[in-house]
Amino acid sequence: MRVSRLVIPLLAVLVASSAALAQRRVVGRVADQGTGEPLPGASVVVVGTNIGAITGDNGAFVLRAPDGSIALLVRRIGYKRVNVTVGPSDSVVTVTMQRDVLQLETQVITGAATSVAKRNAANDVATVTADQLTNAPSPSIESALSGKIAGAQVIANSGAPGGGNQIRLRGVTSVFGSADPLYVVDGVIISNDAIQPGTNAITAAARSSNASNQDNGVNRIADLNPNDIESIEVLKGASASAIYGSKASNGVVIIRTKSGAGLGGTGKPVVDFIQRVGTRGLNRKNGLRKFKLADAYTRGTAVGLDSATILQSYNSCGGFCDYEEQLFGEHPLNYETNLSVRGANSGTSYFASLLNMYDGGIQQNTGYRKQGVRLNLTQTVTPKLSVQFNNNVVRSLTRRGISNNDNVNITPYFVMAFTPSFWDLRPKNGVYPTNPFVGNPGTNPFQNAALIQTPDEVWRLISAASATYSVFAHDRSSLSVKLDGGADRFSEQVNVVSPRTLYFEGNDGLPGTVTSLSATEILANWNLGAIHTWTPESRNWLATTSAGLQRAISERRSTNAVGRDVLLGQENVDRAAAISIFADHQKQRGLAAYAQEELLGRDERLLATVGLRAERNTANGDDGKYYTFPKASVSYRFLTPTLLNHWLLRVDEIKPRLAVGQSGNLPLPIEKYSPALTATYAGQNGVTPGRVLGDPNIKPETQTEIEGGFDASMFDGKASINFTLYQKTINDLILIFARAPSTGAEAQIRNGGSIRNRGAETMLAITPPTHLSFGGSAVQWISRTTFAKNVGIVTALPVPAYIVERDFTGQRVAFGAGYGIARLEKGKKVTQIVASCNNGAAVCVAGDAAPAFNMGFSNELNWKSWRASTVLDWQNGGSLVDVSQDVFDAFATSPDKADGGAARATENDGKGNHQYVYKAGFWKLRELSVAYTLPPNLVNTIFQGRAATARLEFSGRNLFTWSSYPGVDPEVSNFGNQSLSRFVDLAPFPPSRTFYFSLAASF
Amino acid sequence: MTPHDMLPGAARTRRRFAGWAMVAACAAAASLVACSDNPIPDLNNPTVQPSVPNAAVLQTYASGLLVGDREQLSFEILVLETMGRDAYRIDPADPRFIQMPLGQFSPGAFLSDFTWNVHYRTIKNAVNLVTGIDASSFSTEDKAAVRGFARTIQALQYIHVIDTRDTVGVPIFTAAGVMNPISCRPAVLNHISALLDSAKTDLAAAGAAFPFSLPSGFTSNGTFNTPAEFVKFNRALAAKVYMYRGYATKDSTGASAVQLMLDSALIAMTASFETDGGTLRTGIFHTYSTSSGDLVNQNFDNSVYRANPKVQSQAEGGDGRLSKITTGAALSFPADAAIASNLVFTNVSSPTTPLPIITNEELILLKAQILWGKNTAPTDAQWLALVNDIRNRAGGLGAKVLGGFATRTAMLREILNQKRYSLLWESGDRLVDFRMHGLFPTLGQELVASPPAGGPPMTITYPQAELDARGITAPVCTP
Repeated sequence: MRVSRLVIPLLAVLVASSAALAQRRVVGRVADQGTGEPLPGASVVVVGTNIGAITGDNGAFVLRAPDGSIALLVRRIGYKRVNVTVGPSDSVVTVTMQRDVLQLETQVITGAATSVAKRNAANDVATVTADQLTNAPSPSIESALSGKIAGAQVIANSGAPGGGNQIRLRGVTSVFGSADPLYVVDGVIISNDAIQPGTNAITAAARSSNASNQDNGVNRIADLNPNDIESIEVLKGASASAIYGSKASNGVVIIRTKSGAGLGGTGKPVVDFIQRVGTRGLNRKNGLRKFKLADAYTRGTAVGLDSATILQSYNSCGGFCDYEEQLFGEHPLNYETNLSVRGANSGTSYFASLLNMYDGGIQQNTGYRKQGVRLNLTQTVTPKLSVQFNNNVVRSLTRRGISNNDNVNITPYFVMAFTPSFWDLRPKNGVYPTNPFVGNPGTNPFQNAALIQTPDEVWRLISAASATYSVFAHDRSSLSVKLDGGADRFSEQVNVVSPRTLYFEGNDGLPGTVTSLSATEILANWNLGAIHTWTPESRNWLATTSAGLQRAISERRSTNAVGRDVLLGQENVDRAAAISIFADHQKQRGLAAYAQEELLGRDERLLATVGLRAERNTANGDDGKYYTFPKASVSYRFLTPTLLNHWLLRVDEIKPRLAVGQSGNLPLPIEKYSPALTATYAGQNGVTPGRVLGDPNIKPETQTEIEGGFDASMFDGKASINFTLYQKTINDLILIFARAPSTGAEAQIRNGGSIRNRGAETMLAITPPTHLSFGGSAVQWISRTTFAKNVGIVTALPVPAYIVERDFTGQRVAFGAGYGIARLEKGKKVTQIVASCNNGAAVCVAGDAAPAFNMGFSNELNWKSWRASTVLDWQNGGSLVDVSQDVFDAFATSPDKADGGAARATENDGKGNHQYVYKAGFWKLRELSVAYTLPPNLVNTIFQGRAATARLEFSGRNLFTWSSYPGVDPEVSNFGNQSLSRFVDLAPFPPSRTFYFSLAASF
Repeated sequence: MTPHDMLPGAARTRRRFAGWAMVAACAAAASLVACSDNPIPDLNNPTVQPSVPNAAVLQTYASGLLVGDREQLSFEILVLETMGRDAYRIDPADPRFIQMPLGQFSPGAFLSDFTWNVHYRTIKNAVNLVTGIDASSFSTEDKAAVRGFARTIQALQYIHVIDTRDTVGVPIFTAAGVMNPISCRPAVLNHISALLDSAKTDLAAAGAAFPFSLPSGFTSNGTFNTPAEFVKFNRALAAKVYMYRGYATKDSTGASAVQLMLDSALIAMTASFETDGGTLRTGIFHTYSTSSGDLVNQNFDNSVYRANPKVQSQAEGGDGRLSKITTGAALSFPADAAIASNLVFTNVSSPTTPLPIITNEELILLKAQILWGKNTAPTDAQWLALVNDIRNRAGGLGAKVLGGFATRTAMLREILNQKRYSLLWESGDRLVDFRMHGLFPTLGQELVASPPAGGPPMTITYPQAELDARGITAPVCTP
């Protein structure tokens, strides 16, 4: 039997009560094979019928079974399924279940309303479960996925607290379109937008004062509490994600939060409590040039310092002020408290959680605070109707300081670049020394860190509701109707305060800056679907038909008021002498219809699916037109194939699979228009033609993916291997191609061109028989290794090759070919980085932003009450453009050359000037944790019998990085999340390592 | 809904299913109909219409032309004054402000497109406005006034781009979307003259007032906000362009052609607002404001802008115009010890200091520069008088005599020297003049650590987008 996982418990209850067909009573008990603990919440089904039951607290179940010999199928989340034969005269059975460490039983999504056990799936859908997510705490869930999913590259845009990561699934799938996968939480499409906090008002990175893509904003998936998550499924390409249509081109991340289901139905509530305490520390440094005293005299004299002053400063830091250590040397006291209650009672199951956490940064005045409340409630209203409500309220406060590009010389790495390291900038008696190396009084980064405030506060509500009605459930057919939907709404407020006493603030003639940025975003969707199942008398196969409608809307508004020339202590933007207002409003609506047919046949060995989705959206040029996205897939499980069954290679089962599908990437609502630019001149509104010409006929990018491979389970379930080859072709790319600006516009939007990604992924999971034992207890070792390689080529381009300099709004996404820039060119890699060569006129290929391959190594050791786990992440190859180094070189402060890099700034290696494009491969120890489960008697003593289990844990994240990359971190991105141009390193917030000590107890 | 839902003996179910199917189908149909979405317009920006239906729209066009002309004015002054050895932006955040104007430009850097793109968008705006006004119901006089204004601003944009590209040439815009070949300098200058002349004719046919208002920079120092006065601004630009045509093309045309152009320049000058001995500051200015949506003068920032020390060291003793600079914090460029200065500009004293488009002071010196080329005794006397007037009134310096100059080049250098100090940090003309008169090499190298082979650049490269769209790596002009 296979239906939507949400329907399983309901149907099981229903069919268990349909006793008319049952003839005798069978009672049993289900327990863990290793520990002998009873397993509540296991589903027991009589194979070939709809008769079933769910085990209670004590692991017991009761069935009314047909006469004769019957086969029972027992399943439970986290355990491998078990088939048990019950003889005609037997009435009592005992079932023991093995932990499903290879995740063969995990349910994976197959359609808008349907799912199937992973062992049957025809797509390579990656799943990550709760225990894999919370081994080492992470501020944002994406970072908890690093190194765990073949084909998912998870990279952090900076080391600032609070998140800001990009997930790229199977290569670059769009050039200018959205870079992020679609996130769906409990059926609600949620926002992963990054509202930029507007620090550009003080850094002038983009030279206007509005918020810019260089503000190091956080993409909002960070708001989710990783502890609330039951599982994450990742659909990596169109063959699986076609069910999400034109929002799914970058893949889909499906998040399910925890529920009270699976606890048996009559049990007492389970309370989980986790308290963590930890800290952060600077992980990796850029390095600064050390000055000899003679050089210090030269540099100091050049800016008018006298010898005595130079000598005094030189000695105060012992000749070298390590600004990185001094500025990023904080070790904050961080904590996280997580309390959850879940349970189930006669028709009601619930999960409620509370979160309070603080994650301070390594720089003064930076940190991330998050509080969250969640209530998930499922209620069986009548035997036929069940409803579910999931609500989550989150408040987060992120303070990330200033980093990234800057045109007024205030972000820490800029100041470090132009200040020779003998100049002591630390405050003395509360007075910040001036910095003559950038004028007088110059900029003091300690003063900036102490006095600039960048509070970014988000309040968010994510609500989901669903109602499932079982129209009928018969022996061989069932029909259920499901109405579900929800909304995600958040508001974000940022108030940047840069007081006028800061040394740099007077430079623009308007000392003091305050901003008030206010943004709201809402995403809402509802779905109406029906699922019908039917199986013939022979019960050889099961047909599932699903069809439905989906409505989705989204809207975002933001207003940013920037005030300059502000009195000291004044934080109200209204009191500024000069005020600029910026506003933005985006909105779109879409409607989709889908239908899907699935066949699960031949004893659940064959799975075949066909589906079609049709979708319209107001963002398209023709907002009434329906675009269709078909899919089809097939898989077959061969059980113990004789050819592959001997002592060397004992294959339990092998499943070849093939899937093909299409998905899309919507245009942005603005892309069908050719907006003019407006500016005021002496109070008059002036209009100038826009830089970008829109396309009134714009349509979605379409991705066609074909994916094939096999999954094998070997050595009695002790090993599994997934192997996948795919090709995904993206056609009708939404291009913003450069036009000759002399034609009156600098860029034009149109569909055209193709990218082809080809790649291979494998995942090998093994539980090696260690035969090792200490103190009489065996050591269990679980190892997962992932490998992914992707190559993306531009296979068609309707315009001459061009560099990708700006996004659709005209914002920069690169700093020009002088450093390194993306260039679309037919026949070349889409991720190529070109740079000026041969004396500036031409460009040459200087690097490739895409890695050659990625590997991840997760290992877990269990011994007695101890558990240790690690995740190691390897990126081989990939390039980054280290613009930071150029700034250091220009001011002769780089650590790696005798002249501080001054020579490199002008050197030419004969092939070109692309000396700032560096290989950025790395090894990172993403996670390390050691946990100890307290013995029951100790738990009893400590908690006086109130706690069931308790665990102590030490964990760390990003503890070590090995990389030849010269900058602080081979992951950073100055422009945040970008489809293509994600390779610019410019004065980032440096990375940190985090440590936590945790106590987890269940009551 | 599915082909196999008919189960034997399940009639009750069938009925119920049929009922539900009806409900579902109705709901589906209802939502399909009810949710037919209204088109969502561009919620953030207007779309430019080529039509000019009323005075309000006309005003947005007219203001838009000035917005476009002003957008990069301060930036261009910075880059050209760096190339002309008067200014530095010593900015740790972006060493390209030094490395490029004094070393080598790169097409991919913003210095190329900032000095290019906005001018062509403004030209397109002017062409749209002319098309729109001609098709409108405005009066013939108003139409003429608008054409005259639009084409004058259009011509000014070409002056900006040819100032920065010179002999490389630039394309001439004809219609939106059309990529024209690159015209060589003579053709471009011809085109500018033709635009200005056509505008002059229109302005003469216009009524007493423009059908739109002009900002205070057109009335703060003199009055230029009526067609009859605005044409004097038009002629001032015309005089400058005729002079360019005379001097810049002297190698390819005969001496008589040069004289003809200089004569035309003098005629235009007569029709301009140039007044010998008149108020120096009379002229047209771009104004700035800190109001929302408006622009500030970007050349006010003493943390990065410095005068080239040569401005001080090469000045005549006692030149009162040295008050435009003063001593401030020393800035140095560690990658090249030769780049260092502690001289800050005082004449751009706030973020709202206006910048001149052209003033009487410049015109007097321009007239002297034209007269120098006439090379006759009376004209020499005339330009000397003009130069001495400026020396006296602007610099507080004593008069020069012709006999004091050893060569004609020395005379020219005196005129250019007066221009340098009179227009300091308000114009990029020092580079343009030195290049035009073949004196650019005398400016020498600034970078010593790694001086560019072949000397610093005389022109700014094309933007990468322009090269890419043309499929070329270096521009070649068509005569």
